[in-house]
Amino acid sequence: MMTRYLVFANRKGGCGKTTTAVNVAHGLAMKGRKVLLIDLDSQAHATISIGKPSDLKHPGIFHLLKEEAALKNVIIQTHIEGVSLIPSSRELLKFESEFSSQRGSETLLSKKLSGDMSAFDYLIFDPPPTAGLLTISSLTAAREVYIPMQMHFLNLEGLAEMIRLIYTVSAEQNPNLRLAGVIPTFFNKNTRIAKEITEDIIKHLGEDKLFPGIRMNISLTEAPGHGKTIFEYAPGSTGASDYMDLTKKIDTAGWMKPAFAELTH
Amino acid sequence: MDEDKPAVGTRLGELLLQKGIENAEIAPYEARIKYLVQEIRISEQEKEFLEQELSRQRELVQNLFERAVWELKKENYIDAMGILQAFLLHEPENTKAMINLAVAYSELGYHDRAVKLLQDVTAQEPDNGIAKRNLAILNETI
Repeated sequence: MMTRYLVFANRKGGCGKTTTAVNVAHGLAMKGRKVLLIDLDSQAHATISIGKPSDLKHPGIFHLLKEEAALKNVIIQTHIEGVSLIPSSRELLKFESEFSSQRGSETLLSKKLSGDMSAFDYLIFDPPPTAGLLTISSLTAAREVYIPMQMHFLNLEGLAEMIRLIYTVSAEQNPNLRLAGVIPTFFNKNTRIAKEITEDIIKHLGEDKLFPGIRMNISLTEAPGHGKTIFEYAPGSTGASDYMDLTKKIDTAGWMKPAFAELTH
Repeated sequence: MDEDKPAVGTRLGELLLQKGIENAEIAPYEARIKYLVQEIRISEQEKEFLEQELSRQRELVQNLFERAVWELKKENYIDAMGILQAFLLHEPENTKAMINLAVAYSELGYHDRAVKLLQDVTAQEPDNGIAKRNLAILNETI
């Protein structure tokens, strides 16, 4: 299969973005896919969730972007078969502050990943909850954007802003970028607000953009503290079941047609 | 709590409108077109600027040639030589400039250089009468 480039992005923190990136990565690996998870958040929560404490000292995304390490030297195999990781660290903050004002710096990441990535079926980006350089970089490098969001008003406002950001990046940097779907997190389908928001998503973005919801589940909040994914920590939980459903949906969604096909003359 | 009002308050459609997105399905295409139109406009402005710059450069080079002729007429051969050498950096195959530079060389006593230059002209334009005549004169002098 052609390598797919996914990003789970939302400017709003605490929406389950990293939890989704990590668990979908593991879910895909359980289906036999080869996944490279790229932690682009200086908080390094994906690295902590799936890696070991020593991974924070391993050359990572900061060193790759700063051209201090080659791609092959920043990829580490995690304890999960099929899931590799480019770890992050606090140093990444320095990259954002140093490069934010430099023209073209948002394409550095995509250039670093422009070589042969066929060893992986999926590249999954986990950007920080901002609209800064690292998030824009991940949108510039990715093809499919998934927006995890809680069914709250402020998150709905954040969704509208994310859509605007995706369209801007798609117009100016990456014509191949598409909004692939919205993933309701901490989801309770019985609340009125959740019903209204899902209706709105279907109405304005299309039914295919509404992905399976992830119900509130305490195991999901506990798993990262043990350096485990939900499939390792609580395989029988609703969290594991929801993430497997989501994984299957993403995997079967297939490679998405680029928004703007290249013309031939 | 008002059961008639939506729980979410402002709906997604209105929020999208606030962000300038009227129709989420066609908005990415509109944004891309708008960007490309802008890029075309910038490229056209750049092209216009570069064309003006090129024309200015050509004019400057042409001025060099005219100035060199003027210096030659004034028998100011050293300046003429420098200017013609500069001109030939821009137009290395301009035979008129080569012939004029050969004149300057000859007047300054650089016969070998003058001959070489005129030979270059005749190699390039075997029927160039002025070059052939000047070369003959120079050969007679030597």
